[in-house]
Amino acid sequence: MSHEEQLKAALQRLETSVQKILSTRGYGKDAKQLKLLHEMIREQLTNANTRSATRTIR
Amino acid sequence: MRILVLQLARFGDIYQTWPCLRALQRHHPGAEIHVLVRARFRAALTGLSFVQVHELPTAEILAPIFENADDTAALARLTAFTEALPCFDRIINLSYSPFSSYLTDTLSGENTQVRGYTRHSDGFFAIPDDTSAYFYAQVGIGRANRYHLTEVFAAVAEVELQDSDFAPAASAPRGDSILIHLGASQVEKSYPAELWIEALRNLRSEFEGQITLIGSQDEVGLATTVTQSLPELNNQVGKTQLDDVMKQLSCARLLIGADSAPVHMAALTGTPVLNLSCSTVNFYETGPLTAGSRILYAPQMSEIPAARVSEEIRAMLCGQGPQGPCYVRETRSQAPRAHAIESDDFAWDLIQALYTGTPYPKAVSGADRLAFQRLFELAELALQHIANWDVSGAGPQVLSTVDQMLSEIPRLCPNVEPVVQWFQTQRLRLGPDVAEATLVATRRLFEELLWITAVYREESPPHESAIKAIGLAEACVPELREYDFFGIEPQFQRLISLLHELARHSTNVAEVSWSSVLTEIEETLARRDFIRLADVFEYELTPALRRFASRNETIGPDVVF
Repeated sequence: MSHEEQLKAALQRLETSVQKILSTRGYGKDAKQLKLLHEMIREQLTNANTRSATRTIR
Repeated sequence: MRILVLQLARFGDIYQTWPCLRALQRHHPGAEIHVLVRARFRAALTGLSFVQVHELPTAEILAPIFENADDTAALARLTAFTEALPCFDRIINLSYSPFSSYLTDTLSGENTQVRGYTRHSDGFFAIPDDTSAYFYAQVGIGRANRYHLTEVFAAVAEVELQDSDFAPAASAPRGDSILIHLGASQVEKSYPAELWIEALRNLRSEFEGQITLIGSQDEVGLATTVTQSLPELNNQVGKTQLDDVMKQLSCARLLIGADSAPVHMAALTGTPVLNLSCSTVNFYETGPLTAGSRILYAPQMSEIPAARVSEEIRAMLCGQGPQGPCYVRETRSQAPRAHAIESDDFAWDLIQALYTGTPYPKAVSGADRLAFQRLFELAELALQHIANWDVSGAGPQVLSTVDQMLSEIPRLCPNVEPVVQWFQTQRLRLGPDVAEATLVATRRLFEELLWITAVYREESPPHESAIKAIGLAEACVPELREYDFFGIEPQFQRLISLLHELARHSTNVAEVSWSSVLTEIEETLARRDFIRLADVFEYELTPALRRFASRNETIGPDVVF
């Protein structure tokens, strides 16, 4: 599996976990960390991690 | 005090953050200033000895996912990283990304003052400060912003910049050398090799000083192509570190290059730049800052003639003025001036009117006026439904449709985009709250949109607008005395639009100004004091409007009660 495929799979798993925790416990400490990891992976996939501050992705 | 600045973008963005960091140190002499960057770009902080640098260990955090698909281990590493950071009194997020907004929220304590993107308590996107809201709405490629990123960063951090925050006051005497940065971070921002060769060959015949090529390892191939035709050039591409480039810039008379880190470094060494720019860059935001710098622009880099590059280099080295169409940076703090270029300033003038209160620019084209008219009508429609709000009725659907249609109008008329972006950003900034408060806040925003777009709705001279306002005020008075505000709400809204229109056309502020009138009306309405409102209309506003209307029809001073 390529790194990109691994990240996509992780993103899907995390999306499920984030939805579950938000619906049961709301946006607390655990949800924040999960969401943070989720976003870290998402920006890797779109290469947004190496874009400039004036990128179109806000 | 402990301050954290998040700068998770690239080399150039980090260099553009330097002045803000220096200003923070100057404004808060005893404070600890921490900066969080990505490990890959950490070298851009070399030279800033007063900051404590933290690296975001992305590869280390994600390693368990690549090795074992182990999300739990990755999460543990991320949590360990965030919890190992100290507590901060202020967090200034200059990264402008969704990820950085979550990171800012995670790192914020109960008493942390946050500037820049973060999240609300329910996880939704939050923009606590007006400057970051401006950034969200107006900054970026294809937008009309002309504030430089260094100024925007400083405004987010709430510091004033001085020249000393950029280049040091005293520097080594400059030799007779110029630096050329051949490449850029993206191919579309790079000047083609064959045009570089032509430009430098033209220059070589007249310039006797040293021409040095600089760049990273990734640009070695490009440099090899150029030096095959011009072997006498001093090729340092791939041979230096960033702090070496900083020293070279300090001694050079001029840097020539595209939108790239060396251009931003040149602002910190006081080195003038001839910047080659194209449509994938907004040179107002990220262009050179040293006074005397110039920008050659074309939609595509290949459209900048090599002859223009060499003649402009020659002129800058000889202290001559521009030789052709270009943009000139005359001072650090003012936007570049167009030289021999016709520039359409409408959208930029509109942005300044929206955010700094300067007069609204005249809409010359029929298409622009029609677009503003459509925005006005959409705002009116939304306000009518908000006034008769029923959550189970058509109101929510209508608002949703209005939002969609607002988004479409700038596609037909780009000049109104700043207004639509402003409005949508302000909507986004409404935080979690009870339904009634959200509705009131939404109403206020649509009212502001109405007032703004009303400026363009009619071309009536001010005294005619005043006469209309008199009629509307007189029509409102009897109903207000009967406490029947809802019966006259459309006329009231129209009256407020006209008063805003008059306020925008007015240039003088007398003892009591149009804005004071509007504030009193708003506050009286907020108290639901309809009798007082009727008194204001009958005994104060209407006589003042009559005096205003009876004057000469040229724009007069503010109304005086």
